[in-house]
Amino acid sequence: MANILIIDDDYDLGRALSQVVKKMGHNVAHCPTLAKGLAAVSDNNLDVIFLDVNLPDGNGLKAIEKIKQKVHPPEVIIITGQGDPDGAELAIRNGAWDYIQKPASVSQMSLLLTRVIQYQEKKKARPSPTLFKRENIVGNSPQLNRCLNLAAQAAETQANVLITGETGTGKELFASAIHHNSKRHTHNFVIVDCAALPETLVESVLFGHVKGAFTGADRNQDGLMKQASGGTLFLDEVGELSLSNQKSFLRALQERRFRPVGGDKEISSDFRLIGATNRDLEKMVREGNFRQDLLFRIRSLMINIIPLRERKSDIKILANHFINQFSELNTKGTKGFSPEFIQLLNAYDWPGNVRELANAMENAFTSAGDDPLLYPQHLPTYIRVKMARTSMDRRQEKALPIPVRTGFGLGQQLPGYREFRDTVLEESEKRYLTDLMELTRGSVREACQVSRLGRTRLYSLLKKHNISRFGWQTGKLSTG
Amino acid sequence: MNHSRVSKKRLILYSSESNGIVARLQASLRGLVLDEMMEVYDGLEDLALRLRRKRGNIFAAILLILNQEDLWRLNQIKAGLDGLRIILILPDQKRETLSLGHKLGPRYLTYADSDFRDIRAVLERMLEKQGRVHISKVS
Repeated sequence: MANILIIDDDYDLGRALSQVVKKMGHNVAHCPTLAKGLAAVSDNNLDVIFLDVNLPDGNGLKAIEKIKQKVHPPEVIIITGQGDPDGAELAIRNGAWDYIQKPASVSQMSLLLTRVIQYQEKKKARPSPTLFKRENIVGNSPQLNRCLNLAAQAAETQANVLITGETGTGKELFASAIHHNSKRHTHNFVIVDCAALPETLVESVLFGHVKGAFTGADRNQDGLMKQASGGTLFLDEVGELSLSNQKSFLRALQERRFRPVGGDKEISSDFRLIGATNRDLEKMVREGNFRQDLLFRIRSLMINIIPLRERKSDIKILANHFINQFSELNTKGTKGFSPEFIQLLNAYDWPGNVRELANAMENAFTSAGDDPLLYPQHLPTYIRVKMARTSMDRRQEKALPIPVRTGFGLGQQLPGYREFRDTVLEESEKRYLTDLMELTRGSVREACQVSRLGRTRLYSLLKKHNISRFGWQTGKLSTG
Repeated sequence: MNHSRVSKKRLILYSSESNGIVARLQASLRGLVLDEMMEVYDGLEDLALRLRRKRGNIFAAILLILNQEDLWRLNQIKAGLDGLRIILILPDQKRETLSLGHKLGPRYLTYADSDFRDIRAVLERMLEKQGRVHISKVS
């Protein structure tokens, strides 16, 4: 018997879905607001949550992350009346089990619920994984922990893994951690830097060569694939392989057999593949620069490491880690951080991610000399310049409008563009909703049909502009 | 006057002893990396000391290993090599040598009896990808 929670302000849906769930023999509760729903999540051990997107007090998609922070998180099924491909992507990327649109049929809901409950039961029956050794992966943010959970799962399997993420996010560290936490840890972790290899060298490096295969091949040489047998082959920047190299690699990946360059005998290798890239391989497939069959094969498991700017809670922890590292390496005392230093670290967007942060901290450590405390002036100049410019730009946006002679009227002041745009949108939206309520005499059902808005979306907009649903029958305006 | 693409990124070159192999390696990189940009170390202690200092624009480290013991000792200071692109030149293809070599996480691995044209090609590509090859005049 599973515990199901429905978070949706649509009482009709809540009632109907509750009946379906009860008929299936499970416990069910219904909360009409996000706040009540999250309180229920916090207080109960739940298995599945049906979560609406547009709730009166917040966006359901943004709550998924919080829900997933529970030690044994429930599965989340997003249910909404509005089809939104970006919202669907956001839901899935944030760990939602599925994303379905209202109206969903009873059989659709039942089948989905059956599948997700079966999955939850199997998950509970699995023995707890042994502690995952993080090596040099530092941080405590929910986003990083999610990646570590995926890495822990990958370490327990032999599946090919594709790690994606911007430059400097630590893809190699994750690959190494997966290897060292796997049964293959006693064998080699072999790195192939696909970006560093000229196309003509790739096959010889991967498959090896026999004596005389080409000028300079004075003896037989094993390739990295053979050296990875029993261990892990890490293909870094796999998107840099040429189409020709991709073809030969795919064949070897499928069979785990290959022929050294110039050789006539095939040899086998039992390697586990982990690939990494900062490129959009799906886009490369669409453009004809990466083979779709190879992408399918290397992507049995995927781990996307999000950029540092999206997990700011890890910045201070990482900064501390690097400073301690440099202090140990140089056998010098460690250093503290001034509040302004931390503020600047958190404000900067770190396009080079963790690697850039490490370099900046090394710079700061050295610049500080014997000072026990780090200040913003110890950071590299380019960071301070960029932050100074960003701060200037923001101040200019908020600045008082300058008087100009324009079509707005001589002597009138021209507002900032964003301010103007937001004001116009706000006024138009309110006018539309008022006319809508007047036209439909306050009937929400009719208003939804005319406007093609979902019920919850309409409620949300009416609340935003303080427009009541009542008092329209007599033709009387009822707005705030 | 010839124009040549010469890198201004610094390179560490380590070998436990100065010998003909080191000279051959340096000669193979001439024209790609300026001599004054190459930091050459022939002792592990000197290399370890250097790695404790600020890296600056150190781009990569070429480690020329002559025996397994050298490799084993290098693994003791592995932490100092973190974040550096390592090009590793091994003395042989023995299992133990390869195992110790791979523990250093090299981006490229070759052997001491190579003609080092492969190292030059790899280094050139690494520098191009970084977008840090400067065009400068060489007579």
